[in-house]
Amino acid sequence: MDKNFKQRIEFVRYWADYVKTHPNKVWSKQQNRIINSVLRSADQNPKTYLKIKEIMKNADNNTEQKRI
Amino acid sequence: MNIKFKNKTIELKKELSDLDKFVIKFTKIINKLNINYVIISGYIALLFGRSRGTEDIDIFIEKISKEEYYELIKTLEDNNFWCINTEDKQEQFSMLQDNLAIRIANKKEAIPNIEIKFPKDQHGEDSLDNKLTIKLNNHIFYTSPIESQIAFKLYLGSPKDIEDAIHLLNIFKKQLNKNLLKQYAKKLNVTNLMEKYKIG
Repeated sequence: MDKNFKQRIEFVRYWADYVKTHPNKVWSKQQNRIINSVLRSADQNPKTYLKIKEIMKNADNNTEQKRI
Repeated sequence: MNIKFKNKTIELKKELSDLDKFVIKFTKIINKLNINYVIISGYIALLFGRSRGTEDIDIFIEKISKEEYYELIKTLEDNNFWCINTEDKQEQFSMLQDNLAIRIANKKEAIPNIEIKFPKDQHGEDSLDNKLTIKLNNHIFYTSPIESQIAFKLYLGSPKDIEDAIHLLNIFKKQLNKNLLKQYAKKLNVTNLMEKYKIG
């Protein structure tokens, strides 16, 4: 496991503990800023979007092939 | 986090994101049509607090007939949704039958969108047969067992998916059925990853 990924996993565990130990209203308000900003900054062109998803799917398939 | 997890039902009250509102709008329609479905994957991790964004929500629906599909898409269109892949409903249904996903968004938008698929294997069928009920601020929708989702996320294997699996495990550590999680992991051949990431 590379160092960067290890640090990301540590953060995931830290954040999960934060969510578990704080009221829903508190963590969800913070989390919504991330979720809403992704949606509000999105390119709404369907053709571009579907093209990007196709490229990503092919990349995922290649990764899966390598794994197998 | 305040959640109630009892009798295959998880109750959660929280501030709704734009994504939650979109899911509620969509599932109100599919609930009324009595179509068996489960929301799976990334959105479920987000619903329970994962700190990342996403632009799509994955849903398995039962294999419905062409007529039932036409009723679904008409109802969605009447409620200001559209299919972004194609507006030809026959083509949409063919895509589903070919195990391809179709994407439903608010009219003339692409994001967020619901990625609808028919289950293509036993894992997908099991998800529908063993669904959990989620009550989000008193609105009901359905998801597959959390144990199944953790194992499937490990199977998908990207850093984002592994992080989602670890998040769900941490949130539901006390409620999870460890034997069930091991069974799903064995079926999907990810037992080694459970050990690697200290899951289970």
